[in-house]
Amino acid sequence: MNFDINEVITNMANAVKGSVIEDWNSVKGDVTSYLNDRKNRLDLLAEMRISNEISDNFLQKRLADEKDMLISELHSIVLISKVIAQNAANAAIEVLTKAINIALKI
Amino acid sequence: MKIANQTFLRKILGTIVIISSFTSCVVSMVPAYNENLENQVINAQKMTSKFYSDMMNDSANNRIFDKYQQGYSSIAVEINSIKFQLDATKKAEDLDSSVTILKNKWQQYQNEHKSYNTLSDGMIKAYSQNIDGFWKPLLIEIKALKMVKK
Repeated sequence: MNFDINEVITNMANAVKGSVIEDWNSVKGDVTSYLNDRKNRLDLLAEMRISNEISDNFLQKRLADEKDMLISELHSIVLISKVIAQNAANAAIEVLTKAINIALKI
Repeated sequence: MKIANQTFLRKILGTIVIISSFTSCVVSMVPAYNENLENQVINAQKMTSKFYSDMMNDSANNRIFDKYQQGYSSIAVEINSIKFQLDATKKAEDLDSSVTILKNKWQQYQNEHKSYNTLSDGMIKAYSQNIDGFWKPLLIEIKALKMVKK
């Protein structure tokens, strides 16, 4: 029976690393776009307030929106983190299961 | 002695495999991706975008709340439908939080329009860009579910 726990653990760690890198690369653009969007929104609001297109009271309400938007964005980052963690955990479990199956010659 | 150890190890590993196969040993922390829900969110976001675009093209005197009340209601129905589906989905608490924030914000914008009665170009621009800012996290969340590996 061929089951080297050190090799399996190393392979599991590599599977986790590969999975996290791959997933993060596919979502990092979305996450960083939040910062650019915020910059553009605040820029427009400031511009409109300076040119008196909107009142101070209206500006304050839209700035309060930013706080709620940030909460929503944080929820999306939490969900993305869960997806990344789930994929990484399952990749590691798959490596372990395969190694066990090979050892058992299943 | 060595053979006895191997037999013991084989039994342990066999037990793990059997337990794994019975319990479907996979980690699951998020709901499954739902293409229909993604399309509904995309279409509802388009509705809000068109709603404000139409309002912007209207003359300032015609932007009274009563004229747009039906549009507010139609979009609220879409948001409620999305929330209803997420309420009935397990492990969808983050999505549900985002759509709840969006729902409350849409109600707030409707109430503000009602109190102002009409909106200036600047106000419409601000509402339009901000409501997009509330749609985006929800759409990113739904798209992130596509990354879940089977």
